[in-house]
Amino acid sequence: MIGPPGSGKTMLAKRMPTILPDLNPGESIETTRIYSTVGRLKPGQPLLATRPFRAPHHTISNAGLVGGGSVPGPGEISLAHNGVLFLDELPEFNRQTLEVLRQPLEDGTVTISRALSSTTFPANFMLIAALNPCPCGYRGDPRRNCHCTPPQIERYMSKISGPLIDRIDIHIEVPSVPFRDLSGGKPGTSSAEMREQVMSARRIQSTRFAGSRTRHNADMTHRQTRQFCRLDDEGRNLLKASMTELGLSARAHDKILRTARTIADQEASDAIEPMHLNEAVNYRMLDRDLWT
Amino acid sequence: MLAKLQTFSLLGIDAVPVEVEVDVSPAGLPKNVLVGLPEAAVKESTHRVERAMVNSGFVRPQSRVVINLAPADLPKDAASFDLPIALGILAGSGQIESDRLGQYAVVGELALDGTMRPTKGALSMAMTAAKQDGLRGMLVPSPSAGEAAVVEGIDVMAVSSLTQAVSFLTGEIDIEPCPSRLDDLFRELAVYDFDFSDVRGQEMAKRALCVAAAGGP
Ligand SMILES: [Zn+2]
Repeated sequence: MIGPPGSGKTMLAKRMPTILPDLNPGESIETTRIYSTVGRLKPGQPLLATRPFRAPHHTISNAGLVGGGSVPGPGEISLAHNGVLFLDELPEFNRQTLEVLRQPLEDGTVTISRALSSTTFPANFMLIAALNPCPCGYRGDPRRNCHCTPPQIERYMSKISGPLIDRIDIHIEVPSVPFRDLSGGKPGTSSAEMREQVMSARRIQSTRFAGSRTRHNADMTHRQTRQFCRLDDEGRNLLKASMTELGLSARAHDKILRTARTIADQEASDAIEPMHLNEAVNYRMLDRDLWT
Repeated sequence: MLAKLQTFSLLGIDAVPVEVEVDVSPAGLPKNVLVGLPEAAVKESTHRVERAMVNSGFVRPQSRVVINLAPADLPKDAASFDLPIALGILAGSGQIESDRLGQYAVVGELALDGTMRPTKGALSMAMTAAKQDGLRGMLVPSPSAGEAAVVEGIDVMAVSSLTQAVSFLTGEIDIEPCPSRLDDLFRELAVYDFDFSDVRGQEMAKRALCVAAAGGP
């Protein structure tokens, strides 16, 4: 999520667990166990029955984030197991620290190696990251002027390029909200409504992937992507044009197809329509050269 | 006299069975010897245990006390060895007699006044205890008993003090095992106290988060 301070990025991220499927008892015990071993269960709450949300500060150490210590203990990414890990002000995080997240993002576990032994902790989380559009935060914001220079902005954005950002499927802009929308009449879409859409798309996926190791659209192999994300001529041309126009990579190509598949599933559409594809392309904003 | 107790050590998030052996033998001067790869938290244990025993009305043995934590090659870094060590000293010095010691694993940190403190990893310990042959139950400090009781196949007995643990183990009192409340806890606790409707005017972002949640983690 890219947006100025106060636009609600943290509020949004914090609510992500409310639209994910309910924890089952097995998952709940897995996550509770981690909190229990580090003494983080609250009194009167012997079981974690909701998906955890963890938002470690950018000054966190490697060990604090991924786990460590003389007798290795779990870190923030394991406390986020079966839930959401939120990294606010992503460019402020130590680059090396971020690179350590690659293994867990791929495997759902983290292995801490010592000279004589290694310990593996569960760390299956959804990653959400947030950043400002420039060092001062107000680039493109009508409320305040931004005096950041292009080289400053480029330096800032370059801090997040690389292998970690490649693993993030969806990039969006979260602009500041005009005051009248904040105070105004009707409430926003509720978690229950959003969750219903999520669940219906997930039901389609469980049918699609029955008997396969893949469980979600996001984990589709290249082969599955070709099988399940067929486009008609119009779609193919559209994707080709977007790729050229925006200078998207082959990696982004498959991500767009998988995201478009999910958007189509939410509407129970077998075919990926051009509008699904368009929306998916829009979710790759960091791939574009908007920032330099 | 030699006493043996079952307890657990945490290795990462897993609990590994540990046997605490306490041997109390006559000596000119009282002396405590702790062996079996204890880390700082366990080394401090003997001081806490001594005060907790005395303040609970027991006697500190005027003898040589050798405490062995086995297997020796497993690092042990937790205060949860207090209770098994205290009970081992009491049994080894003949201050208590118990048929139940062999059937119940014990874990827990002691405060100096002999009351129990919460234990880290009680859930993992109960999971390991449930897989051990010959164990009927496990004594767990009251504040940590709820999480341990979620595990089926092991009786979790909540104890609030050294005195109460002794009374139970010597058969003076009975304690009802904590009921496994997994289903109830789920119903009670599976609610979020915030909602996306709290966020106004970010419908595009919410739409994207919906797609992210739908496409899988
Ligand atoms: Zn700026």
